[in-house]
Amino acid sequence: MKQLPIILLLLIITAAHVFALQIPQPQGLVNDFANVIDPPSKETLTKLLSEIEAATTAEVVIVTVPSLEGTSIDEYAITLAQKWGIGKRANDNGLLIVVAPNEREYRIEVGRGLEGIINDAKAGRIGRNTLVPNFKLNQYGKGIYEAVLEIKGLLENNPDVVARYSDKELLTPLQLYIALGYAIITFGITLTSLANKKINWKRILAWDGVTIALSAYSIPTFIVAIFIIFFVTIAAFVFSGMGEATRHTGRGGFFGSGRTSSGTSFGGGSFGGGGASGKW
Amino acid sequence: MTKQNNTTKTIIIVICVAVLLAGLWLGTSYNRLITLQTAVEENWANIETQYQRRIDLIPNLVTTVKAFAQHEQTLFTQLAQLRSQWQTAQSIDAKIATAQSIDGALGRLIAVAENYPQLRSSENFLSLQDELAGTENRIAVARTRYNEAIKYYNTAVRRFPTNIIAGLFNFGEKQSFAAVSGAERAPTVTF
Repeated sequence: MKQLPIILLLLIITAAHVFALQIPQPQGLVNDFANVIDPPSKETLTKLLSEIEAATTAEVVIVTVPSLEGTSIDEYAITLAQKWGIGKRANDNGLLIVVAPNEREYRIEVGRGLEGIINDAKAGRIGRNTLVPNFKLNQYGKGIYEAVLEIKGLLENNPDVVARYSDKELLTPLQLYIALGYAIITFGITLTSLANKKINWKRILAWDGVTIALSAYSIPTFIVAIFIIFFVTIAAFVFSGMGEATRHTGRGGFFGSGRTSSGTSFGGGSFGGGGASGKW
Repeated sequence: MTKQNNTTKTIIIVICVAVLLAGLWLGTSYNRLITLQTAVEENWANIETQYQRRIDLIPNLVTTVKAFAQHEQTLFTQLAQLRSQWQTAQSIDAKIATAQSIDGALGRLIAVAENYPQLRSSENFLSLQDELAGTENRIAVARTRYNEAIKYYNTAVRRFPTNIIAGLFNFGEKQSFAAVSGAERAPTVTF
């Protein structure tokens, strides 16, 4: 019972916090409470958002607020998203873009079901590449439209868009040179073996050893190395080239047949806090 | 004689009904406490999951920052240490304490990274920073929901008449997750 005052205090703080946040009622897919989106953009946006819902059942919603009233945009976004229940309940496929022009902050809040397709890094990149440059020029409608286009591309597994946001690690220049040098030497060994018509096993085995040693620092490179060794050895026998590396495209998903938007009520999807925020 | 029998019967029936009702009430109250307690445990598990997710980000982050900022070695060592501390932590209190230390260390790492313009423009680092910010947000959300679950549970435990059941079956009040001031969210790069 000594903890009673502390517990009471925490309860009051929690309760006060909850009541301090005033969440407006939804008006539709585009909720421009801050009045920064021009009417023609609003129309094209609404059309685009409806298309997304028809094609993927994902509910993408836009909200602009005149003022965050001291709340952080992270808290505002998830409270609103959860309260409105954006996204279909069964799929949790909701996405919310909140823009606060007064505080110059935005957040892309990604529902639980979409976190696999649009992870935090992708959401961050979409914000940086489409929202920030446009918002800096006060082009809110244009920026949001471009962001939604990217989101649409990812949701519909459009190969061009997916390739833009692939999570592949970029190689540093040094790594690139090493990879190039390695490829040249491997190719050279293969060619000389073929040209001599005699297989210099010592050289090939030595090169296999070098390959394994170089690649042992991580599992993917090790597996690639095994492939390379396999193929170089075979190429020394037969006139078949090296194997191609396979590329992984992003995971896509269709969430079922299309349905028309149900006006100002959403499907009751839930959010876990994924997404990305930014300032401009 | 019959009158006495009738009265006795009535009394017996009333007592039986009373006992039945009491049993039902006992059962439903107990079940309700169990449900609330399970909600608390689930939410706690969620917090741990998000903390784990953050721990998993650390090696990548350190590698990326190290590529540009080699002489911040003490920070890297500290993060590696905290990681193993988390993995060996047994009690919830130990885990919370470790998580709070990590809050500070990661904050410092991001602050250090801000001094290196190559890092700030590295797509790799920006992605990792987004992931870290996303994870920190998930932690914050998980903690809010945990505290809500605690609130419902504690209210039930303390309210009459459920507090009787709570006392009988040892449902104690639980401590909510107090926020650590300042060290909650990793600072983000501004453009």
